[in-house]
Amino acid sequence: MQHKGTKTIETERLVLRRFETDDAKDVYNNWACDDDVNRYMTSTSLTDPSQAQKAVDSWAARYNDEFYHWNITFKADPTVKSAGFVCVVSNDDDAQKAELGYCIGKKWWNKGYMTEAVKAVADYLFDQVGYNRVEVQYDADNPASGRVAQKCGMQYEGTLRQFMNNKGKICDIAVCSILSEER
Amino acid sequence: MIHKGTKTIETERIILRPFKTTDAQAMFYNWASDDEVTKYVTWPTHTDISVTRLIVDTWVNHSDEENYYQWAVILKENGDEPIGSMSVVEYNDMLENIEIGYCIGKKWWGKGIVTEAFAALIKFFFEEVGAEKVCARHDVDNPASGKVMQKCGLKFEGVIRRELFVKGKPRDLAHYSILKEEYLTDK
Repeated sequence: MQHKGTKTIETERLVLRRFETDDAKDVYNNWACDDDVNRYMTSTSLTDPSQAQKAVDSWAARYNDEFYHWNITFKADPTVKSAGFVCVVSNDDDAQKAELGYCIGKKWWNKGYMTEAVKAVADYLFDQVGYNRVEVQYDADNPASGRVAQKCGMQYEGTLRQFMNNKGKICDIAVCSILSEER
Repeated sequence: MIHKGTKTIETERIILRPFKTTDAQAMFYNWASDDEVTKYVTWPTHTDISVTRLIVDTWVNHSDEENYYQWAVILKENGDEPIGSMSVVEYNDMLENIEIGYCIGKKWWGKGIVTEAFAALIKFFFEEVGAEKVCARHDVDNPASGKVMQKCGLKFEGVIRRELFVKGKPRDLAHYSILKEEYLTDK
């Protein structure tokens, strides 16, 4: 594994970059405060902009070669400081695999942005870092997340029952993955 | 869940009991030194009985802990020597789930012994410990292990590809589970 940390990645329409301290306001307004966005996330929606500031500052302070946490921004509209994120939730370097987590603000749903971002991060982890398997795990009640995974070329592998306690709810967790050679 | 530890369990043909230090020899000769038995487990074949002794001693040292589960499989017609082992690989108190792992000497393959032992553990974990789910995984190249899971009423959930590196190679693992309500319905 050749860890490289959160380097800026450009796609057709997006710039994926590190979080910076003055992104906090848009983090809060565009996705972190929204119950719909956070419903299936392990986080709860924030209720005060200061919580977003705290979160952003803690990410900004954590950036190093092994911390992968991208802010989603738009090439065409630099006034949007954060539309969502893609991050490595967990990784197992011995097994050469990484798990991704992601979300994007509701006003950008169903436009292919999430797919574009996740695909670019998966490619980065394969080509630049050297992982062989990139996976996502999501609440089986949230098929939209699975559609993103499948549009990225991931294969649905199964649903692990009663696999996670998320905010007091015991969830079945669906798993999708793509292997390096499947691209 | 209320953990009960490695309680002795008896079924028609077998006894599951905690390991004793004197079991090392039987474990070494009956399964741990056999490449065919260890092919799909995460640990390497024992090439010297001292390795087996060390491991059995560790198990014995933990054997009175309530959240430690490591059974020697005793076939009644074969005396008191273990022919395999059953264990809890992992458990999660918050989800109240238990993952079971097993292996048994080649001589005793295909006789339904592991199925009998696993079924007894499923009953133990649902009825006595209060688990909500019992699960197990097997290497996809080792379908015999999956047959045991199916016979015990576990449902296939999927194959997680390259889930683990075992002995330097990525392995695809099939996941199975049975929920408490399924156990109670099928009982």
